[in-house]
Amino acid sequence: MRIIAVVLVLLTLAACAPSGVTGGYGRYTSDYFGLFDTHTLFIAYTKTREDFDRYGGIVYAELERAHRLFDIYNSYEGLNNLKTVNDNAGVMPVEVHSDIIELLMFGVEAYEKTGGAINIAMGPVLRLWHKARTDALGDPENARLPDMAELSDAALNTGIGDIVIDAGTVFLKNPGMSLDVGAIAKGWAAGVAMRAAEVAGLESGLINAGGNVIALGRPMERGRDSWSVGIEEPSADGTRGLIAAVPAADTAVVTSGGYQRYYTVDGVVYNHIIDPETLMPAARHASVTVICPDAAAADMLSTALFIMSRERGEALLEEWGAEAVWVAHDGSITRSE
Amino acid sequence: MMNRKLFNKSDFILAAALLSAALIVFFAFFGDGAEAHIIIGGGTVKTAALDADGFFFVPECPDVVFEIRNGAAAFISSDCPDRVCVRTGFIRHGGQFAACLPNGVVLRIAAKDSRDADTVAY
Repeated sequence: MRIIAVVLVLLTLAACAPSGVTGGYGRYTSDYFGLFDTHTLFIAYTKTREDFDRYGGIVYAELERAHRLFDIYNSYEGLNNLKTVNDNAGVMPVEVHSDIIELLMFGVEAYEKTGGAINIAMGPVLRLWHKARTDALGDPENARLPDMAELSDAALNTGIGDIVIDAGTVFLKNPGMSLDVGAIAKGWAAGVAMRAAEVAGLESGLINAGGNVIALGRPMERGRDSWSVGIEEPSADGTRGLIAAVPAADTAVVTSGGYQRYYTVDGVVYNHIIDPETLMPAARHASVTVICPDAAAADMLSTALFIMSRERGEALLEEWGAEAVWVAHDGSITRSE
Repeated sequence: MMNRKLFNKSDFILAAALLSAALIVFFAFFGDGAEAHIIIGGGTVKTAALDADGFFFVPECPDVVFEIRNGAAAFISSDCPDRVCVRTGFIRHGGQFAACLPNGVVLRIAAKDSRDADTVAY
C-alpha cells in the first residue's frame, strides 16, 4: 500500500513538472534598437551563449543592412539607398544594390495582386499624413488632418508605372513622386535575416522586428512543437490583453492594427495605415493578423487585408496560401476559411 | 503481524508529505509569481514582481517611471516625445512587451511556462 501511495504521488509530481529546455539547449534573448525605427527582439535556443551571440550578430547585421538600403529619411556615405532614388526622381536612374531591386519588384507585384491596396509609390501621400502626425506630437491641441486638396494633389504623383527598373538601376520618371516601402520592408528584412541565421546553422529562433514575427523551427523545450505568438487587443481600461495565440513553426505572423501608431484629432483616432482609394486611414477592422511562411508576403498581406473588405481579403489569402485572423471593432475574432 | 487497515498512520504521513512536496513544486512553476523585466542596452537591469503594487524607476533612465498595479505593468510616464510606450498601457501576459524607442528601454513580461506567448505580433 505504501508503494502505491508513493507511485501515485510521484505520478502527480511528474504531471506537474514544467516543460523544460531540452537536449543541452539554452533559451537566450536579445533586444535591438535603431533598426527600422522600431524595436527588434531575437530569441533563440542554442547550445551556448557564444552561439547565440554569433546568430544575433548575423540577424542584427542583416537587419541593419536592409534598414540602410530602404531608408527614405537618411543618407549613408558611399551607399545608394531609397532616399537617393527619391532625391533623383525625374532627374536620373540610380544604380542600386540587388536587394533594392528585389524589394521594389516585390512591391510592384504586390500592387498588381492587391489591386493597388499596396502601393510603394504612395510616398507623397504618406508624407502628408506623417507630417500631420508628427506636428500633433509637439502640439496635440492643434492636431489637424492633412488638407484633402493637398492629399488629392499628392495622389497624382503615385503612379506605380512610373517606377522604371532596368539593369540594376531604378528611375522614378515623375519628379513629384517618392517611394515608401513601409508596408513591406520590415517583413522582407526579417525574412532575409532569419534565412542568413539558418544558413549559418541556427535551428530554433524567433525574430520580432517591430511586430513582424518570423519563427524558425520549434522551441527546444519538452512538449512544445511550435512557438506561440500572441495577438493583442487594447481595451478601454488602459490594459492590453492577449486575445488569441497563434502557433507558429517555420512561419511568419504579422498583425496590422490601428492601435499601435495613431493620433487624435477632435477626439477621433486616426491610424497610420492609409487606404490609397480614400487617402484616409483604413478603419474597416480593429486588426488583421496574417500567418504565412513568407515573411515579406505576411507583412504585405497584413496591411492589404487591414485596408480591404473581408471578402477581398479571403480571395487574396488563397492566392498566397496564407491564413488570417480578423479582429472586429466589437472585439469579435474570426479566422479565414 | 497482519495489518487489516488499508492505510496505517505512517502511510498517511508519508502521503501527506509527498503531496505537499508535489504542491510546492506545482506552485513554484505554475503559480502566479510573474515578473516584469526592464531591459536596457540588451540586458535586464531590473525585475519586478507583478504581485507588489507600486511605482519605480531605474537609475539608468530616471525620467521613465513604471507602475505595477493589479498584476500588470506599464510605462506610466516618460520624457520621450511620442509616448508610444505610455500609450501601450498595462500588460500582464508572458511575452507581452512595451518599448520606449527614444530611451532604448523595453518592459517585458517574462514568459513563465509554455502556456505563455513567446512574443506578440502587432
